[in-house]
Amino acid sequence: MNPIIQAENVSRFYGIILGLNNVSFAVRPGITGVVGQNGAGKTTLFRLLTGQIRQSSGSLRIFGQSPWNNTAVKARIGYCPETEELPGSLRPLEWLGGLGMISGFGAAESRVRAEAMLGRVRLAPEHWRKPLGAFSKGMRQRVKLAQCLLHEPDLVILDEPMNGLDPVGREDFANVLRDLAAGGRSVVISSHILHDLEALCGEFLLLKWGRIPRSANEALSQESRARWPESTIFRCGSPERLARYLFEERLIRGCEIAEETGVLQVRWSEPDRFYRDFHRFLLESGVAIFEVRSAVASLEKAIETPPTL
Amino acid sequence: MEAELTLSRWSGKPGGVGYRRWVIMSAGIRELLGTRFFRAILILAWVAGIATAAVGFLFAQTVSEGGWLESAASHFGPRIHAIATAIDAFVLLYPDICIRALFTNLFWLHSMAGVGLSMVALTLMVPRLVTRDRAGRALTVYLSRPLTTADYLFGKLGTIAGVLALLWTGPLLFGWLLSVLFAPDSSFFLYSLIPLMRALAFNAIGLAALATIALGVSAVSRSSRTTIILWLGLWLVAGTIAKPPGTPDWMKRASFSHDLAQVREAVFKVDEALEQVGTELPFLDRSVASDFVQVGRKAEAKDLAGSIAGLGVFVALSSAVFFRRLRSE
Repeated sequence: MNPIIQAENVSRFYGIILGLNNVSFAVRPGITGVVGQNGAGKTTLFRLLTGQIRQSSGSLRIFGQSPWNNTAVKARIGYCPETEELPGSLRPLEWLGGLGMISGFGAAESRVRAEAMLGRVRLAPEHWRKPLGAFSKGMRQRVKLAQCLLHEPDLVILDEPMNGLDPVGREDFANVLRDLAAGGRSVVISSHILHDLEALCGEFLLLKWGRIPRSANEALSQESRARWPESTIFRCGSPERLARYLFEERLIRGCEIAEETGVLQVRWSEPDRFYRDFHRFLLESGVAIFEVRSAVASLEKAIETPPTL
Repeated sequence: MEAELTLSRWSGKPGGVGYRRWVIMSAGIRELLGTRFFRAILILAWVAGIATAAVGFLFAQTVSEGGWLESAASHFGPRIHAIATAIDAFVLLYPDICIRALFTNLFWLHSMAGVGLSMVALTLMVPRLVTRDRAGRALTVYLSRPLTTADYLFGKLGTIAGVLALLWTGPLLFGWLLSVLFAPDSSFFLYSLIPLMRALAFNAIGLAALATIALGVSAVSRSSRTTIILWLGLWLVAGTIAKPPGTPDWMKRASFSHDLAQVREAVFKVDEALEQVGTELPFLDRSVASDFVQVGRKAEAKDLAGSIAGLGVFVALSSAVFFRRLRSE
């Protein structure tokens, strides 16, 4: 598949301050997660992608064109910024209607779209006539998503859109994004809620201090994430008994037991053998299992890895 | 959430760059028209326009043959009637000088009202132009849409132009049109054209300068209070400092309202019009003629080059601030 976004040796400096440093990447259709700690360069990347700032050096193409000041590219992009500040005196329909008109739609068309999108992000109609200043954080996030989808963009860029949303809201949000991706749109999303991101995205882009560390990004690749976890946590009736059984089967090379909480963390010697036949092993152990989970999520692991360039 | 889009894909062609600029411009004007204070200013502006029309109309009716002056004078005996007829004849003999002088002074006075009301309206507008967009980080959302900084700038300039047209240009044209519409002959139309062109030229200069300065001031800070204080400081405080006759020239030039006033005197050429009345009209008493010349000299532009330079600096600085602030968003 042809990449939607293609960046080659892109750098962006703010005077002497580093925003992005010589990054190269490609984003293909689907949902791509952008991860990194605060100050990693995510917002700079998004502003470059939305054509609001120009790269200091390198080449950046979206839909085959440079996004800088390019209204043809911008018309195909929807952007949901991280900021939670919205014009407090305006009502969602007014704000969205105005933004629809800025996108080139007539007043009537903008209003229809605004109503449809507010419904789509599940903002109850009784809130449509309330001023945005009276909205909760979660409601504001929904309105921001609605403005982003108003003109049905081909590429949706979302900067921390799940901040302030409750679990149900996050699931709603994720469903909209999956729906967009299924409809052929591309989504680039950043979030600090890594497990949601991991469940949502097919591809990841890890930023660290304005750079894209190759090893960490390789660890986040689809092939890598398809591998079995190296360490697993069991919450069970008898961690000691389970540990003894797994050792006897030569499946693990080490473990930690917390008897009082019923937790066993193991480090696999042969994870493939265990996961391929895990139900048999767990039944044969005769231990009641309450929970099985990976010790470290691949995203968390990648973010915590010291930068290797 | 719903699993599918409820909208069919947009099949029509979205509006182009002109439409998007118009959207920004009209939204600003609509918002301002929603405030009671602005509507009050608007009423005052149109009252000034009506006053201009009334003065022009009265003058035309006064000097026309068989007009109300002549009719009224006939009630006071043949002597008064003869004087009234002489005044009519005076305008008929020298329409160019009389009509030109009247409309030059009329439009000059109107421009003072126009500038004053525009300044008040701009005080109201300054926080709404860029300040609030920056404070609410709305620019990030606007500029991620098919909108460039230049489109945003033109949209905002359009808002200011629209407001100034409502407060200044509109009432000016309205006043002139009504004056000449009911005039007894075409000489009123003909000889009022040059003063009208001068008034429109000053209107255009004022619009360009005030719009750029207002945008620059609006972009200085994210705080509405700061931008209002800065605007009032530049307009009223600097203007007051520039007023006394002994103030050094460089200090006078630091007031854009003083610079604009100088440009007004140079564009309208009230001094020339009055001097022409004083020197070219016969039958005027020598002291009256001298008074005309003296008054005209008072209205002469004394530091035009310096004022233009001062305005230029204001415009350049304002543009630099505007583009710098928008770029850093």
